[in-house]
Amino acid sequence: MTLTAADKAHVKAIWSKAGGKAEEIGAEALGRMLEVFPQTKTYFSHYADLSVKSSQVRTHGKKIIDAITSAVNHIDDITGTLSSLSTLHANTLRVDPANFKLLSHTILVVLALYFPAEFTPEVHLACDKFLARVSHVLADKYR
Amino acid sequence: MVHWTDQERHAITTLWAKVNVEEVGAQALVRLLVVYPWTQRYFASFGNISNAAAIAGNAKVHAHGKTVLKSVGDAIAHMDDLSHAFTKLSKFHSETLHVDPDNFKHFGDCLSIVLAATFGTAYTPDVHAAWQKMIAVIISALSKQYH
Repeated sequence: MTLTAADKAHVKAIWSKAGGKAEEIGAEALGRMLEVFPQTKTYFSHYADLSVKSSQVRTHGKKIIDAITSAVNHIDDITGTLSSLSTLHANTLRVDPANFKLLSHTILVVLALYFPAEFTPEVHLACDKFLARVSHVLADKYR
Repeated sequence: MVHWTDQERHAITTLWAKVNVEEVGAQALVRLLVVYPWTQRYFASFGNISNAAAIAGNAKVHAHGKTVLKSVGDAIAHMDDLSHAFTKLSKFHSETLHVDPDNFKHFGDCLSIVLAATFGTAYTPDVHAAWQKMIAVIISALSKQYH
């Protein structure tokens, strides 16, 4: 499902607000994923605290959002931009790709929470498509 | 039978008491039709739902959103025995409406997002988790009579 010019514009617009709160949004998205979908905890058994307030969750959440920001800034070459992350997820992390949908969903929930006026149905659609594209690229080298 | 903790029951019912069924229902259904456009296929009789603006302004979409959210309220009232309580509704979706059950999940996702947009920080991680569980239980009950 290709990103239209309108989709790209919507994603860049909302992400320009989200990128500035990377740690907060990352912590919320990751922390909520761990709480709302407990099976995802399996990948973080080495974390002492899995809550939204955990410093480990905040740090890792920010990393995730920063990587997505990079994809937004290179929205016409997500494959190239996320290539090394794709390799990492395939060979080292081996996160079940089903979990990309779960984190994508909590990212959308957090965007809606922080930016209710801006997160219109059209922006929601654009972000859903964009995150699906990111997830697809991340899983691309799995097999 | 689903096991609900006291915290989950409280989170679900407390938030539900503040939900404007008409407003939240309409917003959730609008989002379903915009974000997952193939679902428009089930609502061909609703008139103009050809673009986001038309969907958002469509009176039948609004009315149906309210109907769906009222059922969510019924689900909460029967949260301890939902599979049984939703037998007829499940059969209706399967045998009459022929709705693909994947779409229940899409609607559930839209509902959670609308709750987040509506309640902001009051939609805390644990409230969000309780609601996700409620949504999962509703989806399971609605899917039960499919074969």
